[in-house]
Amino acid sequence: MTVTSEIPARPGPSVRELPSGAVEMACFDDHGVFSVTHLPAGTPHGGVVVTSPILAEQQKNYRREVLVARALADAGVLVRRFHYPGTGNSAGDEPSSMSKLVEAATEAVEAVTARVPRVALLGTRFGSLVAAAAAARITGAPLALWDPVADGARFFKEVFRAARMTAVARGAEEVPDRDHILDVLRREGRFDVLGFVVTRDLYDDTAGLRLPDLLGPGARPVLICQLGGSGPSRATNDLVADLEELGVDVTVGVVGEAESWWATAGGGDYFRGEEGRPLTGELIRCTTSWFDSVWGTP
Amino acid sequence: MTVATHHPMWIPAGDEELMAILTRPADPRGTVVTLFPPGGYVFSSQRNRFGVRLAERLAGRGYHVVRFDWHGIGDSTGTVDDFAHDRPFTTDAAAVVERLEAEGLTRHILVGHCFGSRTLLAYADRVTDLRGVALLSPPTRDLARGEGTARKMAYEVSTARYLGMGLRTLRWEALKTPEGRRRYRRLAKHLITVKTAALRRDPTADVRPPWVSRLFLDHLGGVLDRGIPVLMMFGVDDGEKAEFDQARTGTLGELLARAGDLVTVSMHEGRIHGLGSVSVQEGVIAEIEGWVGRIGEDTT
Repeated sequence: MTVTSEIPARPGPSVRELPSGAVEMACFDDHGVFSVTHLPAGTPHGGVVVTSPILAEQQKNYRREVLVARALADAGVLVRRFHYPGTGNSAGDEPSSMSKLVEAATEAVEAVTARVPRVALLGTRFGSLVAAAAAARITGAPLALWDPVADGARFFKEVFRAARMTAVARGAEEVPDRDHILDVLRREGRFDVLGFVVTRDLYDDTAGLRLPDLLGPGARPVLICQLGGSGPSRATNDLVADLEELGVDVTVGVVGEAESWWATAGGGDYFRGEEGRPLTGELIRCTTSWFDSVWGTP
Repeated sequence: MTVATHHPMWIPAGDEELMAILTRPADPRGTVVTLFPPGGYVFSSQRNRFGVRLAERLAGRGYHVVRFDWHGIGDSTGTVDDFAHDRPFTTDAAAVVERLEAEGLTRHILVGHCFGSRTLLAYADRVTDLRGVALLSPPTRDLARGEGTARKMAYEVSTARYLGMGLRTLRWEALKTPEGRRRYRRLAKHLITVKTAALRRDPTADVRPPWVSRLFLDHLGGVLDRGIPVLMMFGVDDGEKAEFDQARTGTLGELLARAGDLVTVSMHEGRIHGLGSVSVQEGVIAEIEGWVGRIGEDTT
């Protein structure tokens, strides 16, 4: 193991070299956007940009994204993960529009295409919308989606439900209904959901978005990883139908169990490392084997 | 105006490597504040970028700030199965502090949240130039995450009520998963232990929850014996606050009384544990910033 990182006088990448020859490189760019690039040993045969969820779901899914990136790098794929401006380690104000999120994703795509000829996107939860919009600019780019948010309005419905459920669980005198939340958003420009900030600008900009509309027509392979269930759910089938109308070749993988995105794992009272969770292993296997099938094993 | 720059670092820690972010102030005063994260899957930026915001505020006062991911969490390597308060991650703590010292940052203030506060206390005696310790909702008991509720309930309520509560909250779908089954097995185990001891009237059976950890007392006492200022922060709705209040009626209270002005105990509305509201986050950041500023006057 070789560690070449030092505390630099100026912002710069920190590099971690693995015994296999693979490399992980963490850095902040000139705008303060944090990213980690996973370089496989040898010449990469493809590149994947991961677009994360936002709010609580970003924290919840984070380790899985690290693990799938490492698994893909082991399989010869270059992976770039990044934090949207104003989220995680990245500088900036809270996300206010889909275009800003997509801009950050597009910059990550450009960084990948500078190194490899073909690129794909992996969108997780809300990041699926971002991935679809970024993929729309790349003809035929494969698109993998984890528990995708296919509809912005539905996403915010779930977020606001989390706010209500928390108020109930804590015995609050007033439980905020949707109208109340929207009223606060209009008046104050932001709403606090379990310590995360939903901004009016982001809500207004994304609540009307649908994933198929963002992706647009064109042939490309798409993987949908549905969490839990004995088969594709109605929501998954609806998304598949919409995507197939666009000419997309869709594969559905049903893995593990449904995730409580706004609660701690297993009901809120204890922790279990991601590596030990069957869901995580299944998600990673589903994703890496799909990329193998799309690009072929080098 | 640029007040700080952020630098990612990989820090070797035993067999693993930790991801850390150093925030370097534009006008450094020579003291580094290390943020110890809570247990769980939360990476170092923490909820709503609490860690980032705190780092930037302290950097604005001239402090270096480092935050990091535990092994097995975030971008760090390794795996982690549990965050038990009596098995703190001192190897991680040592790796971060020693790395800072190798870079010439030898004057330290440590800030920890929940499990992080227990780890920093367990490691503090190895920090030579330690100027202050801030503890956010520090657990005063030695329990694994989630164990406390089951034990407490098994001890405090009748068998019938305990069973009734369990059945009312039982989610049948939870039993379909290994995690759910483990949770209910744990509840049943504590009930059997407590109630069996009661039926046998075994006076030696240790069924009472440990109200305060001997390790916690020793580690906190060690810091106070060195004359190091300590800030303890709780939310009035934190479970840790109730435990702290109970512990304070005994040995812990005596320890705090002896420490006098060295210890500041502050209470906030709501819950600090989990930083579950923006107003709590802002209150905590402001208090830490003010406290660090006050004790920092002696460090320059």
